[in-house]
Amino acid sequence: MQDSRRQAQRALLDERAWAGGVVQAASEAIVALDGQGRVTLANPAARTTLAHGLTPGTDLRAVTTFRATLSQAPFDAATFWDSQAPTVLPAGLTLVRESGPVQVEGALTPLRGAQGELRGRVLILREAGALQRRMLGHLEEGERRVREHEEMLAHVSRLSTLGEMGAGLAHELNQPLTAIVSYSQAAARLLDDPEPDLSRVRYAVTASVTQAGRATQIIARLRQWVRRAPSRARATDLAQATQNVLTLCRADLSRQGVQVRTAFPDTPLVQADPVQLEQIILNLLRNALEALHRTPAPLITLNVEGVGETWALTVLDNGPGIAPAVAPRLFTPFTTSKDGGLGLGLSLSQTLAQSMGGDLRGENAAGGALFTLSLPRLALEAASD
Amino acid sequence: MTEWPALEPTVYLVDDDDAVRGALGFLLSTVGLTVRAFPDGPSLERALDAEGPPATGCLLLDIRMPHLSGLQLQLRLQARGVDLPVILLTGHADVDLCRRAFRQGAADFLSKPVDDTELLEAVQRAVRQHVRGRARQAVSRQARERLARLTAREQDVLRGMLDGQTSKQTARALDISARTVETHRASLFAKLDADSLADVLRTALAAEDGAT
Repeated sequence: MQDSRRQAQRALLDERAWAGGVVQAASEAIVALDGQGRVTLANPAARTTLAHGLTPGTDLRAVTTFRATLSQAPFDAATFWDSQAPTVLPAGLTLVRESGPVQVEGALTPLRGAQGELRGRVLILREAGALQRRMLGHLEEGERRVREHEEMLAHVSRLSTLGEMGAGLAHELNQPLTAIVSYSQAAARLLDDPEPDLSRVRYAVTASVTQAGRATQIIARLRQWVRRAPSRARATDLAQATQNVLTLCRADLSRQGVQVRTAFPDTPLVQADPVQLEQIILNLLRNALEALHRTPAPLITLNVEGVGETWALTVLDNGPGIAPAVAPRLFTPFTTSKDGGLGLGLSLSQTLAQSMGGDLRGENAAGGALFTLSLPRLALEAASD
Repeated sequence: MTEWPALEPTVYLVDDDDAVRGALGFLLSTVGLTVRAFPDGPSLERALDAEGPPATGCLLLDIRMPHLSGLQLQLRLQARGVDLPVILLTGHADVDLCRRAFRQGAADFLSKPVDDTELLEAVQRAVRQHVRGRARQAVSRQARERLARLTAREQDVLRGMLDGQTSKQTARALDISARTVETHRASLFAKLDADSLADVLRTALAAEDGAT
């Protein structure tokens, strides 16, 4: 009895050592994860491919970033890591890492216990072979276009970085205001004198006017900076524009673990300046992202629906919603609930939407804030003119 | 309307913005204050170095300046023994800055744009604080000089008085006669130019005030 048990144990240990050896020797990257996505085992190839120590307990999704090419749907990290069935990585996926990006192929497979309960997952990766590389050459053209697109959209982020600029702008504007107030109050004091020294009063008033001019210039510079490009309205696919912005934000989305659900009809065409349209959508998405900072299981739902003569894009988050204090002045300039926010994003977005013949509305919906951008529908025949 | 303390108080103003410096200087000068304006901390320091101890008055420092902020300048001036009270000016009054300024001993903290009444009142308070401080220092110095004239025995007797002892108790503690204690008392009253026990206590307290 004792002997057979010891024998069975030895056999088990042997088998484990052998299996371990196979894993260690494999040229593929193999990472075993527990139910929470933490590393329990990683072979040397995995540490090389992912350029990370992968010590047990490491949150793998925190150290692994995949990037899709333009021609593909954006890589949905949240869905991938939570998949309940074996999931093959889409071809041509790029693994972003410090030592430089690399094209990979592979799969994530759930590991189940005897009762079928999820025990963990195993990720297998290998660098894409020569054939793939040639195929990927074609995709690089797409990547180049993404870069161009991102460059074009660089100034889009101005809209959302307005908040960061707020403090600097406030300081810059505050200086001439301080001077104006002091000169004017000094002038008033001088005039209180029974025999006022009018030359000094004139000096104070003139200096005050000069400073008002300085303030005006600062505001003019801000205005130029916000609306750099003139509006060029043309037939624009609202779903494509939304997808472009999602692509632009995918790093932020996956970093925050935000799940994105979309439902778009085929080619909802609107008459709009594509850059301005993306500015509006980016602003809505960034707001949603910021609102979700402390939300467990963050989710953003983007839908495009036909409503009467318009296409309506709805952006719904499951965050805390619009604060009652802010709600009535949501689109008023300089209304903000963000630390250091300037409160111009929604106001400018609404102005842009209205200049396109549409509108932007915001309200609280079940479970969070809901923003609706509606734009006049463009009939296909009109578009092909 | 505004009563300025004796001597022409001087406001030392440091702000890197020409227009703000000009405007605040102009405003302060309309109520007859002498204003010395500097574009940065180092130029103020150079002026103080060249001129010796500053006049009575106060410092008006902008917090946000390149290279040397108002808060840093405040510390540097303290380190070199400049006793002028400091009023700090800031574009946005954030609680942290405000807390730090007061912890560093600022007399006042104003946000820009600053209201003229508020500014002038703050300057007036600061100048008064400075004048009082200097007067107290003078009194304290004088008290210390007087106390230094006392003999060791007279100092023992004085300590007894400060502890609230009667002449008899002091005599017993020092193992001398009550009459001798009375003699020492008369002599120390004369040296401290005191008419009453209260005068003696005031002098002793003033000397301690300056020592801290």
